[in-house]
Amino acid sequence: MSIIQMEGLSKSFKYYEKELGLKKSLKNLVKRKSLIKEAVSEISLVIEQGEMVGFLGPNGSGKTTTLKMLSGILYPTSGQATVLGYVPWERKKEFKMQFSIVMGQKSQLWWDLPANESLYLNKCIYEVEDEPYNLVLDELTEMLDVKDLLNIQVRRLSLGERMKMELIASLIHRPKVIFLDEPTIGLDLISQKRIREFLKYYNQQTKATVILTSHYMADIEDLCKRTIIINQGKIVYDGDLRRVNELFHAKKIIKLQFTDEVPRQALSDYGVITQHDGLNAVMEIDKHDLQRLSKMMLDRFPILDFTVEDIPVERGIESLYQKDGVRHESLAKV
Amino acid sequence: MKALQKYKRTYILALQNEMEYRTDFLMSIISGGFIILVQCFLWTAVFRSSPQEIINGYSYSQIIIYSVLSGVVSKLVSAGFEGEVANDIKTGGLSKFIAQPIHYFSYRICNFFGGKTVQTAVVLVLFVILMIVFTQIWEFQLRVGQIVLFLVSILFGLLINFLLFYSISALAFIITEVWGVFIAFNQGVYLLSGAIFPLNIFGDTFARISSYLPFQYVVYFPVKIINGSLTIHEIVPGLLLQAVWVIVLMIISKLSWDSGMKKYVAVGG
Repeated sequence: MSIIQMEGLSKSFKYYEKELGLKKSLKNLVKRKSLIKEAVSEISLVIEQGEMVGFLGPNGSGKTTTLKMLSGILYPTSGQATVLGYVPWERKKEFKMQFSIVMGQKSQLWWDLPANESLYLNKCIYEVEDEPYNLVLDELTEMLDVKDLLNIQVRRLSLGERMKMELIASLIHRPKVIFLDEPTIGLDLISQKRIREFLKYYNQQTKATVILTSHYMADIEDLCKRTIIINQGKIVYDGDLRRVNELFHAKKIIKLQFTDEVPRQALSDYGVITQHDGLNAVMEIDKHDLQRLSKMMLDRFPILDFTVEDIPVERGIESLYQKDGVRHESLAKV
Repeated sequence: MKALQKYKRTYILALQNEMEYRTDFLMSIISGGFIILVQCFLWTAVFRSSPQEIINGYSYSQIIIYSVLSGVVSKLVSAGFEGEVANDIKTGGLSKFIAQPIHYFSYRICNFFGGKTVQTAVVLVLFVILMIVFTQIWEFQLRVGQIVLFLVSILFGLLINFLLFYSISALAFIITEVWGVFIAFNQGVYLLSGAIFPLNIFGDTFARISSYLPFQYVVYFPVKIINGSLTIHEIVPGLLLQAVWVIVLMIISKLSWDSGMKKYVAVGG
């Protein structure tokens, strides 16, 4: 059985536009032009139990909105979704008891009290018995190495430490589905890595289904086998992140180093030059012509070093972002 | 039973939280003291310059007692959480309550009473001292029954004030910048509840209008119980009316929050 199903899920917001200037402000008092922004449009997805799925997309692409609909915070404008068999926006208690949402930018901890007070409150909110609570707490604090920090006021903790506490707070009731909205935002590399390792381990241990949004490629590359790239409210890619470039299969990157200067024009016959300074050059070449062209170049130019590379994943995603979300073909079930 | 645990816990947490802010509360008591002091000076000046012994039905000692008691009571029942609620609505903090199995209203009320418990303890000590002072310098008498009824009316007053501010904070669903409304509402309640002057000072028409409003039951009514100007036959219907207002305001707050929740758009994309 699939844990999460979405069928044509859409959400549009009404907002007001105000042009620059005092005059326009006055005009706005009387009459406001309301516009409609489609934050999420027609998203259909199926996610199975134990999957760890990454939502990737630029700011304002609709990642958070999707998560908010899945956790019942927002009503969709149209479309359907079920999580664990429940319709999230019916906000049933049985549903709430089985999932968790962590918003990296919003704290659920009591600022002026030690973290363990907030954790204990969550224990009560989710009606967890003493014994399992102590067990989970022990396990999680050990894994995240924050045992000594439980008695310190939350506001005195560092951002990374606080994020770890947020995670613990949201896992106290052993949710079957976890939504993580930017869990590593603003953290340094080591903390990011720590949290990633933890999430990976937790997912493997508990078989919980996890959806994660992030701006950091590393987060998703490291954690999620399946990546869903969203742009302007639409799914533009669904599949393995490493294979994103197969959408643009055609190209390879060649790095060249010469013993003597080679002019730019001479190279331009073979492909698109992205970097050139006489002795070094980086070019993009059609994959199919790679063999033929490189042979020709090796014969023609005084080449010292020659390497062929794949186009980096970031580049592929960038071009997906720029495609205005019109692209629908996906490499999903490969 | 287990479900109640979460609210009990919220109450305890709010209590602890309040203790973290001891100085803050102490300062607010001191600032309240200034207002009382100003009122005492004002009334002293009024009575000195007037040939009459009784002004608007109050003797000098009665009006001073009223001013002091109303100052203390209004501090005791003051809300002050409306900003937090508005902030939750504006910045999307409310989202976590929608996603968790806990009711926002119950959470808020436990939080409110948790914070109030500490304040009440301090205020009651203050109260006892004041009472002793009053009974010493003026012929001011207190009966046990009066104190009990006073405490009951304070509890209702707290509830009414909580519900008033909880309802008004639902405006944050419609108006994004709601501070101006809160300040105006605060001042309005301050005046209409009788925290500054006893309400009958403003004349009969005003008194009649305000008897149809819930505000006088927040400060004016409890203070009149303790200063002895009401008979038991006036107190009991008053308490019943307080209870009625609690129910009416509960319905109002439920309606305003339900319609607000429908509008609620969690911030951020």
